[in-house]
Amino acid sequence: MSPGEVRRAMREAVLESARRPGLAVALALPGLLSAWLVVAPAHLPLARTLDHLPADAAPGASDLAVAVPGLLAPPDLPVLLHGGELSELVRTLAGHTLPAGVLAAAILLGLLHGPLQCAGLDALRHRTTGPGALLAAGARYALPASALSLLGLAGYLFSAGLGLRLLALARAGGAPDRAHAAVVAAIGAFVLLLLFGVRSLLDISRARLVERGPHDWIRPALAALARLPRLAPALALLYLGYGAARALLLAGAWSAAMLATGSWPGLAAGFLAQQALAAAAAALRLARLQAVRKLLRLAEVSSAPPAYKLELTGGS
Amino acid sequence: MQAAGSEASVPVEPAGATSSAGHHATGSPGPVPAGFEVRELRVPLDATARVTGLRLLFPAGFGRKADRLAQEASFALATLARLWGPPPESGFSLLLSPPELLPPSLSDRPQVVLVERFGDPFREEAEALCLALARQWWRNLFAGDGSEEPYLEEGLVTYTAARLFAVRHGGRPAGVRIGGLALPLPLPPLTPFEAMRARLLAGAPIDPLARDRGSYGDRASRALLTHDGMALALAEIASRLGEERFDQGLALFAARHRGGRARADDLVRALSAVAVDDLWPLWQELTGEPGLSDFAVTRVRSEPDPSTPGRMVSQALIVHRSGPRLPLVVELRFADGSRQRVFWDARAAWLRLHATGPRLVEVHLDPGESGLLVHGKADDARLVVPDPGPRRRFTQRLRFFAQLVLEALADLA
Repeated sequence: MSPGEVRRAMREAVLESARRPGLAVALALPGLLSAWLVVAPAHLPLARTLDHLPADAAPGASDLAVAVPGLLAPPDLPVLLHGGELSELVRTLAGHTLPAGVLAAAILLGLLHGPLQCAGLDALRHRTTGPGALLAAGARYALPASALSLLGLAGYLFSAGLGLRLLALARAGGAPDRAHAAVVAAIGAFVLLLLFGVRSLLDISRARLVERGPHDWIRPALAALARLPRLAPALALLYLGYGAARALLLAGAWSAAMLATGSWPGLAAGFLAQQALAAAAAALRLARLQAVRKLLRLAEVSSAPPAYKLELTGGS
Repeated sequence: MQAAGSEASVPVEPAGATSSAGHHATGSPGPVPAGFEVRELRVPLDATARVTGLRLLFPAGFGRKADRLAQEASFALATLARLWGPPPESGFSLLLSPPELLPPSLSDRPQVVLVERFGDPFREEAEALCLALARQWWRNLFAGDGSEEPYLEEGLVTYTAARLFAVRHGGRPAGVRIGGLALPLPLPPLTPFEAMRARLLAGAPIDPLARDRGSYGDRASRALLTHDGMALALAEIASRLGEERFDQGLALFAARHRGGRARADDLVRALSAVAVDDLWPLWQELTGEPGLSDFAVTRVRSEPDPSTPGRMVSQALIVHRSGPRLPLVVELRFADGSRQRVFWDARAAWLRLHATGPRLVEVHLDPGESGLLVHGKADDARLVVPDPGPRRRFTQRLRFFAQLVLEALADLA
């Protein structure tokens, strides 16, 4: 499959997804609602503390970086904010409420994402409109799509665990500088390959699920997975392209969040900008799935035997 | 490690492979373990001919790493000599090794520096190197094993290591470890003393060489939690005296007691000799109470003065919650932009301030954040009239941050 064909599939998928803004909003809505629910318990302690803080002691942009200390900071070094003004409050929030809430909500949202993505793809494919059709499609794909999501989650965890285990083994090996660096790079590449495989498996299976329906998708999905070695370069290009575009969108959304002021018009403008960009990111996610579907079909068409017989005869 | 910016790179000269056992009286790692190499260096301390010996032990194949750390060590030793006078006669030794290659019999030696296999020295390596050199510096400078007043030695060692690290690496973004992986994430760096304060607050272990607190016989050692507490007490004195004056005092202390016994009282006497104010009350406070000093602005009010139209009567109540009673500055900010600073010695449990004149807007404790042992919290500053703006903005950011994290995590499934 040529890079030109991949680019064309990507472009068509993005255009199709962009023509359905309602679909993008519907896909982004669960994330927004979950975030509001997760942060709701923090409202009262924040009001009690922040409302009496002078402007130059109020939290700034860098303060959000400490919200997940287990991920961003060395484990034995609790983070002090600049000036230490809100250290206690944010550490309390970050230490208990947020990580647990975010993790629980992410798992639930992850399970919800699968059916929603399939429903969105179904809506693109059959050009259905309205929330009723979307919900009906979501209900139809709920079971197999959730099972796929769990499978994907297990695949990611396995890949990450295997990578860490291999790194620990390499550390204990005692190889000198350069050899060790090469081993670490090889392990990194191997883990990336595994993650890529899991991602492809999920996307291909979902595309097949939508095309064949929930009762007859496993065998076609396995058949499609058999084509993965041939499809791999095209998929890698696709993921790189969409990943870069999504990163840009999310960086824009993050900047909008940081620029919002404390006044109501400023807050409203910031909120709308963020949600527009978040919806665009959701549309891009749907476009990726649509592009995978198109690539699969292209691969099938190019490898299928012709449906006619051509005989060349010539006269003298 | 290569020198960056304006930092001077100090040359290191090889000094041959032999060294007498007496030359490294306390720092010698003894016989070379199997699979390790040894390198003897002479480190110039300044522009004159002063040098000190440095012995490096490292696993075979780690020569490049050892070279980088030798540069780092030579810079540290030159800095120490510049700040606090000539080094101990016995020279220095370092045992550089990844944890998995370190023989168990050597793991508790003071000269051990745990290193990664490759790359420039990471934050932890640089800190461990500074700690090993500082430990040898102070331990070998005085007679005795430091067991009489261990908090003095441990505090000096930790303070010195933090100063060395700040001189060499202060302000640079630090790498972090996630699940055993060292990553160069651009996090806002903590100064060594901020990091100590954070560790003290969390009650986290200090370093692998830390002793059991119960083994200390004297009250001050237990109260100050040894390493970090005493180092922060010294840093607090340095911040109030001024670093230059503090360095003069410490150099005087080192010169007076070189080769002999040294006690904490001797240190305070030496520092008092260069100080303007009497240091003893501050010292008593610092060594008498554990933890950080916590103050709070609990009430602020500003109302029209019934007797004088156009004038406001304001009140602020500041309380001492816990920890040592360290003197601090209270700043009142008024509606006309004027500011008034009040110095409070914190002898009483609370302080009520009365002001008449313009409307009081905010009250700040320790506005310059000069008190290292003063615990900075959200209750250290307070508005007279609440303002929901910062809370709305912060909540919106928090929600959006949660939304992004949720979307990213959910997208994996």
